[in-house]
Amino acid sequence: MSGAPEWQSAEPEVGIGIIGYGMMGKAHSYGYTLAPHIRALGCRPRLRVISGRHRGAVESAARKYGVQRAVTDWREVVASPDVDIIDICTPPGTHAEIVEAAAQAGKAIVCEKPLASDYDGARCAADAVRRAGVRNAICFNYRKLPALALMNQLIDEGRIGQPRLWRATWLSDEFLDPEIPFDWRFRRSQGASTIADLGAHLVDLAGWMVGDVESVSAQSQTFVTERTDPANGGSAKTRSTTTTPRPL
Amino acid sequence: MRFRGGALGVFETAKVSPRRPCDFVVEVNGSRGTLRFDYSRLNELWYGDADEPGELYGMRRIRAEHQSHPQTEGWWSIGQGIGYGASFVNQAADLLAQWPDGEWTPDLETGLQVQAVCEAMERAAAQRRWVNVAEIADGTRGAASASNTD
Repeated sequence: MSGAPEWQSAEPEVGIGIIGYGMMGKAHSYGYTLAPHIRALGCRPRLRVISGRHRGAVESAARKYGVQRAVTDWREVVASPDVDIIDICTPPGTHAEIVEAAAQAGKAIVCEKPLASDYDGARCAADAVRRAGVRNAICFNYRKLPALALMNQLIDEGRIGQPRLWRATWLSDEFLDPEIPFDWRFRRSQGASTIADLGAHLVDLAGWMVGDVESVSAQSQTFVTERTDPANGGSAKTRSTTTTPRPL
Repeated sequence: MRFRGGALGVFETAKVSPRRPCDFVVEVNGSRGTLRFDYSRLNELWYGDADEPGELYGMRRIRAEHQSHPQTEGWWSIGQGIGYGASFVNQAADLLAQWPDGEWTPDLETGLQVQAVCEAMERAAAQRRWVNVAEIADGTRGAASASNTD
């Protein structure tokens, strides 16, 4: 006898595999867990497996997030026959390789923003899903906030007439402290630039609300150019290239 | 930024702004009105309608969690708040409700278009010039600069 009640077992299950257990792995697993609480979905999401490089940490995350299995190799998630959707929550620089593998495996793909750490990586990922013909989605979660969804709707309805000027700021102090040690977030090839990391949300909202961007000008500066690198015994300094340096 | 439709845009992102935790503001000015969103009050939307009579001049504060508003289905009654976590719940619900055959949006192609704009900005900053977004997709005029990589 199955433990699931009849009304529940009538709905098909959708197996979810989450790659990455950090803040985004937590947010995405929370989303799948709560989604059936708020809406009739026609299916039941099941958090089958989550991956991360550190066994203890990913096992702890699996327990907290309610995921059935924890593995230390993301390729095991891609290869899992009980997983229908691969949800990618790792650093941006890893996305393209995982998308390509998941697409080759014929899985549906949900990828956290930004799609990659640079355009070439993003191109590889987008080409891979097109070639494979698999379902795919990018996560720009702020589209799902009622106020921003309403803002987009009111613009579409013509409530402000023809859009003329769009402006936005996104200010944080995440990297303010120069004593924060170097990690993947500061390596452009892994964490992407601040323009691509935070700016991706704003560029997405701009495109959604106002339309395609034709051309840009910009300026940028890395203010904290060296950070202690724990990988070098805590004594070495490593150049931060999180944002585009000013040309010499 | 210049939009294809003729609008102009400007934005600023930073991770070195003291005591600004995730301060995220978006404003659009149209030919007949203004909309403004401030993430620190994420259940509100400010709206100004230039067609209203002068005695009502100003912006109104819309409580953007009314049941008639998008992305409020299944959430709490108005006034209780729909927040950051809810955005991920809505995202998952929108995907699963379309499983297995409905449309998923935005897709990776949208992510690619966004990446092209971001990379155009990086190139524009490095080369101190206006950059057409199309030149990123075309692969013309080279990478941003040698100093722009690890």
